[in-house]
Amino acid sequence: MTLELFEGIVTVIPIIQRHKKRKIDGDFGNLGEPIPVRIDEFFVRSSAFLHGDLQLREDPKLALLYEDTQSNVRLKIRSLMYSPAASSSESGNVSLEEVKDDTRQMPDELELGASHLIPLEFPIGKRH
Amino acid sequence: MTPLEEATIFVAWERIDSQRHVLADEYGRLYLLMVEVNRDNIAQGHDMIQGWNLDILGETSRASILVYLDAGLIFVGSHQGDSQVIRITEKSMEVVQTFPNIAPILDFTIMDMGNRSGEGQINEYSSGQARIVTGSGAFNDGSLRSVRSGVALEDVGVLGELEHITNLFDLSSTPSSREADTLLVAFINESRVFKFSVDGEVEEIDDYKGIILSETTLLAQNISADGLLQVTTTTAQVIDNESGMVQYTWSVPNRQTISAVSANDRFILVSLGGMTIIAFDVNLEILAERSFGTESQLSCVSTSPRGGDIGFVGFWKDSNVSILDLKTLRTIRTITIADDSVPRSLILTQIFKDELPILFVALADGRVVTYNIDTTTHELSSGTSITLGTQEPSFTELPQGDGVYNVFVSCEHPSLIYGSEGRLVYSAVTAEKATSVCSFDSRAYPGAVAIATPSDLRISVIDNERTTHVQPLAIKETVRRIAYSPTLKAFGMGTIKRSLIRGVEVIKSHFKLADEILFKELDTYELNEDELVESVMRCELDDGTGILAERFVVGTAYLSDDEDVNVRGRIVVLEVTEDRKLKPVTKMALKGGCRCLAMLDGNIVAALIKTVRIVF
Repeated sequence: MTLELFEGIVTVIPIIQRHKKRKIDGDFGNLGEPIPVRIDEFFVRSSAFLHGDLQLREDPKLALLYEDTQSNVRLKIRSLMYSPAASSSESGNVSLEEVKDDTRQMPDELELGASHLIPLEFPIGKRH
Repeated sequence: MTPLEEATIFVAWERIDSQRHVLADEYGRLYLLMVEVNRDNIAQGHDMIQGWNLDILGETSRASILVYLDAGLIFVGSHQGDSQVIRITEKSMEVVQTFPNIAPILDFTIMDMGNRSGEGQINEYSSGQARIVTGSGAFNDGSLRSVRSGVALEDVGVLGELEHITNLFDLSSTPSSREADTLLVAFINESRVFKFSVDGEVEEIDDYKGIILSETTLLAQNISADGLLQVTTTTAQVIDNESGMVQYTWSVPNRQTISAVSANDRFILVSLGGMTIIAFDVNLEILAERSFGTESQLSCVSTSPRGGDIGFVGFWKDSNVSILDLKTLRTIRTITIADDSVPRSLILTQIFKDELPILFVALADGRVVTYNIDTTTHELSSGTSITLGTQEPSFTELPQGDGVYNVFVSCEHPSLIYGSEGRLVYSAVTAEKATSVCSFDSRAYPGAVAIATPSDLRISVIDNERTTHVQPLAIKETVRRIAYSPTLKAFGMGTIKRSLIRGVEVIKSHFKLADEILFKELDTYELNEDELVESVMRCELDDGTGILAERFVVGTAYLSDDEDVNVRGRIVVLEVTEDRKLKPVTKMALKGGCRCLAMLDGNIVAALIKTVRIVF
């Protein structure tokens, strides 16, 4: 799935996969209808999908480097849950739930000059 | 988390593998980020990452994007400079390929060297030597780029490691054949012969038909039906091309030296030190001899090709050229070429098929003058004059078949002269380092040209199409404005330099002077701190004594942190001294930043942010 970010809105564009119930195969591999989802973070400086453990089949996690209303730079991880449409004329559903993380120590505030997020594999880490 | 030693702004990153990433910053630096991993820690519930290292690998163009290709190769895509492909190693990097980028173009100017002659602009067409000079790129990627439309040379073969070639001659080893298959390469103290087979294989021959190899060769060519002529500084000899036996020979008497020689199918004209000339026939029988006193030494000699009876000589004094009858060396006619420069090379050739042949005269100051010649009456009618460089060009005739020829002019900016639709066209050639050229129409390389550069010998083919050729001069500062002065033969640039000093970004503006032909920086004038160059103009101003003199005017604005739009500015007027250095003549403070400059009736007009001021 691909996504785009505008101020306060994450637009998820699903890439059509093969579905057992779907009878029309012509759309395979094309882009589906974009689905907008609201998020609280307005000024996102950088975003990155995290590398997940493929065996666990978890929902993909999106890390957001953003500026909050007090101009502090923070980091938040959200989990992307997507369910495809029941019929071909509707778009699917997306929710971006915040992941409350106790195991990883993430700093509350980051430097004001933080500009990029680089996802690293195996371990979960973010860089600026 | 540990901070970096120096603060910087990152602009791009790319993953190489799970532990290594490359980062690029705003100043063109490339870093390798290495993450240290300890897998044992996971069992204990700690994070795998122990730490990380950031090493500087080197400098590239300021990256807009980085793409990892494979095997340590990374594509650095740059918007404001040349894109590059680089290879990285553990501790460093090297540039493997560069993709030139002329954008972003901040300013440009048009330079036409050819249309400047004493008589003003004769041609309404561009002389072919016109170029567009752009100020391209930003900050460390800033450059001047000279864009010319020209004829391309495609290398089809290279004989490397041949240095200091002084001359090239194409020969045919079989009598009465028009195809060349042998190249005689002259060096300062020797000559070498290379034979080319029909499939392009080259072999050096140690003993070629009695050719003298222990001296340099001034001239070697096939002459009459089956003769081979070689002239060194001491000897002239005619060899039978088939048997390789020396048939006629002549040595210079009294320890004089041959300084120049020219030959056609019937005559050989030799100059001894510029003081005496001797005309020979093809059997090396002296036809006539003539001495010129020290007052009127010769600067060059030429015979007209393909058997004409007339020869041309040029003189050091008075810039004269005389037409001589080769049988008697009697002067038929003399003309004065120019006021202040000496003719150094002459060639009479047929550019247009059914028209009169044209005499080309190369002058020591880099100009080429042409005359149309009526071969029966020997009347000369004036043609064109064009500047091709700063040093004396030399001519090489390139046959095009059908009795028509092109002329290759070797100088700092080599050109090709050819006829097209009835006009004489001077086209720039992308052969920047050619020192010596000869035609090499051979079986293996039809229509080719042999070119000697300071380090090697190439066989090339001249493209028929004109293509665009861009030559960059790296300045490493943003070239914001350009002004060109044809009188000073230089151009002025307002530049902006950005450097990172101890973690702080420092911006400094300069005004630089660069030579128009060598494209080299001559001098720099530094503007004040926090002053930004906004506009640059070339004009003629009263120098205080009532005479108009060439000046460069620079308009600037002072950068200020506050939001007040009315920032201050300055005008600086600079002159260029005799040794081509910049000297400020006058400076004036302005109430606003000077955005644009122009001349009106001898006064400078400055456009400030909100007002227009006229300065006397």
